[in-house]
Amino acid sequence: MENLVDELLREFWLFQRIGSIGTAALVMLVCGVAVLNFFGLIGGLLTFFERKLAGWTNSRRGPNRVGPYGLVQFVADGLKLVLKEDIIPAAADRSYFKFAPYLVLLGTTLSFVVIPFGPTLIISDLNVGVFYLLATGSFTVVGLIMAGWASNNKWSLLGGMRSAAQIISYEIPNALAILLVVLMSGTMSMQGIIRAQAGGMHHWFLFSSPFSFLAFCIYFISAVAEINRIPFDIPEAESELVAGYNIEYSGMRFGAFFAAEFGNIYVVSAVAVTCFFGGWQLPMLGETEDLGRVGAAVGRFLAGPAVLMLVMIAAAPCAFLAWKASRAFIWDMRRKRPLFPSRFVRLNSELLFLAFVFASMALFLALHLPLRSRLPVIYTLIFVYLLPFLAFFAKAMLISFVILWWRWTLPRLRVDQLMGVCWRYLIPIGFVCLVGQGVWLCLFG
Amino acid sequence: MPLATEEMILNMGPHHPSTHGVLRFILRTDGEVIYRCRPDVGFLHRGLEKIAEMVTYPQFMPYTDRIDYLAAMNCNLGYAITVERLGGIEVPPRAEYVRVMVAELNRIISHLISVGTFALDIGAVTPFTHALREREWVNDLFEELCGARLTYHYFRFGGVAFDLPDGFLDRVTRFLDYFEPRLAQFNRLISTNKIFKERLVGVGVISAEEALGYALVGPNLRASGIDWDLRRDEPYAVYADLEFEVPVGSPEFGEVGDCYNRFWVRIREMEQSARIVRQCIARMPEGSHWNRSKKKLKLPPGEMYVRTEAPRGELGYYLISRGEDRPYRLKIRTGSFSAMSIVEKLASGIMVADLVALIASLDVIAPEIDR
Repeated sequence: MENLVDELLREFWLFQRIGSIGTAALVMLVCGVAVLNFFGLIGGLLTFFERKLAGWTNSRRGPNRVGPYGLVQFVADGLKLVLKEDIIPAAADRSYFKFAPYLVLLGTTLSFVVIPFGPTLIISDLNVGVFYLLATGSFTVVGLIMAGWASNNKWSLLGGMRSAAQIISYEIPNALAILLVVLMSGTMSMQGIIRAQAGGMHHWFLFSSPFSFLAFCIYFISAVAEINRIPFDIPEAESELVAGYNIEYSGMRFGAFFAAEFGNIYVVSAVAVTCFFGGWQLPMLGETEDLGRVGAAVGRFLAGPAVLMLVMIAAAPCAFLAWKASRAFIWDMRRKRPLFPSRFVRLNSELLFLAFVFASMALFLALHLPLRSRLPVIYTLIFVYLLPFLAFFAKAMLISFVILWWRWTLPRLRVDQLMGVCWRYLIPIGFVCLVGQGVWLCLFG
Repeated sequence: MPLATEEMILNMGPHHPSTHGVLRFILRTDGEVIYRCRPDVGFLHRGLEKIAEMVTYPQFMPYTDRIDYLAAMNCNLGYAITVERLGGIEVPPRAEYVRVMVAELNRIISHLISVGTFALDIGAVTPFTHALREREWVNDLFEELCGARLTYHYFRFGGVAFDLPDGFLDRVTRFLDYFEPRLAQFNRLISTNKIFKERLVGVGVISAEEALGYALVGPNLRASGIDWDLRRDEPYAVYADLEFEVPVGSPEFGEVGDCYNRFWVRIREMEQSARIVRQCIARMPEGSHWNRSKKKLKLPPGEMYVRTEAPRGELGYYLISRGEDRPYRLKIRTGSFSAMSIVEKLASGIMVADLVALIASLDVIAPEIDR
């Protein structure tokens, strides 16, 4: 973000007019909007994905009504939650009760600031990136315990207490595993960690030593525990605590908890990808930025067709929708039926969804595009933005898939067993790994 | 300085998700650990025993469906046998085999619900939906047989209401061919799961003496290592002619009498029930399905106690007749009620999560407790 502000100030007179503070504020605003949009989109898509997955494992259907394949179901659900009555129990501590869900949400959205979606697609590449992530992750626990206490419900209180004990305990193995990554890469910056894994799949930290592989296992288990997913979902264990800390919440406040939960799934997956799976680097290739330069030299001739192809890719869903709309129109006209409004509502929701996707992508890209003027735009677009972004997204989704898959396969641990896993196994193994990796680096590094 | 903690009174139920109907437990806890658990039953009391004194004998048959709505066939069976023994009503052999077949099919689906909700209470959602999927098949069969999917009202004094439809036995065989591999799949999915075992082995152990002392019955009794099954030890209907094993709790599945053993006893009982159904299909005699009498049914004065092995243990009907067309008094003894009495003893000192597992393992069902 800092580079972006500098470049904007240097290259555009408009920004020079509003000054550095004004530009920074504007960039912050746009980045914030983009991140919130992306967060909402990812959280929503993950809920859709989870429900479909639940359908597949549980021999039922999952959402299949709103939008294509039920893809827009989450928009409808979100609207429903916004419109629902917001009930605050009479005996609740009102201000804490109201504030708690947003604190949880804040922790999640703040994490998105340092997630590197591509070589340049990062809001701020802090030099203490991973450390910052660990810190923002702790916001969640404050929110949860606040919610549990303020609800003035014994089940909520138990849920809040459980979550406090659990999240604080599991932060230790989590931090140990990440410390090992910092040891290997020599930096805490997210981009630095990714660049340290450059040069193909065998350079990924996951495969570079037995200790780092173990560290990934520790990280993954403790991350699943930190975001309260089965088999570690004891703070909201529905068969024990009814709904845990969010039992008294309704409407959008409940929605905030819910969104934070799914946002967190993406965050921990993204951190796992960054730390162990080479981040946005493609599995079989080297540094994508170099590749971009080579591609630029070779492919100036192909720029025209490539642009055409991109336009076609973007136009295809619109054309499909137009075709569907016309079909629906003809179908209604032939049968001399009045135009059924819900049909158009449905189509519009699809259009709205696509517009949302394209708008948030365009917004994010528009910030960066003119600045890389040395390369043809199209190659920057493909090699610096699109491919790394897709690689990162695919890897993160794969890990999210495992988290969702566990949810629908495994039973839940008891509280004491949960703590036992952390203190008896994960933390000692984490320390051994850390020392072992140090020795490994001395011997082979 | 030791930290001062305070006892908390926690009200679990009657609308708590894992209290299987409407049960209420009043827990005195220190954080997660329960000091004392007092069950508060009666939310589903419908006065069935009093209703029995108000309606005629055949009219009470549909009420028996509601004693344990997950095993309506078994409840029908006990009541039918009680009245038939007191009235000396003959049952044709075909009806006897049909009765045993549907009772065992109902035992399978009742146990499916039991183990499915058990897994659900431990936090695994998928086994529950799989169990329901298998149950649906039997529900379809029963619907074909008598038109109802839950409260069947299929039994009559002297037989069953409807003869088997054409090809019904083939469809039951097809279900069993489908079900037995599915049960193995179910075991792979949840029964042998490491976390599931960790949660249940050694939890809520009931010794054999305690089980006898608290009058536990059915799978709960057998899981404590007592080899007692009315179908084999006091045979009724045609159970004497059929071959089956009685699964008993063993150290092979954790500690004898713990939650995990109770789970496994039910799983193995389903296998045995499938075996019994197969034998019934193989031996199904031809002939009448109902020895129907046109006269209004009046039983001679006298008393009769009949107990049968329902999915939740012994289901006893104690009938007193004064020679009228309705019972003078009908007492129903159910397995869930005695199972509830032991909860208070077992629950002190365990955690809330274990209490949930304990209730699920005892397989209590609210309508059977309250009646």
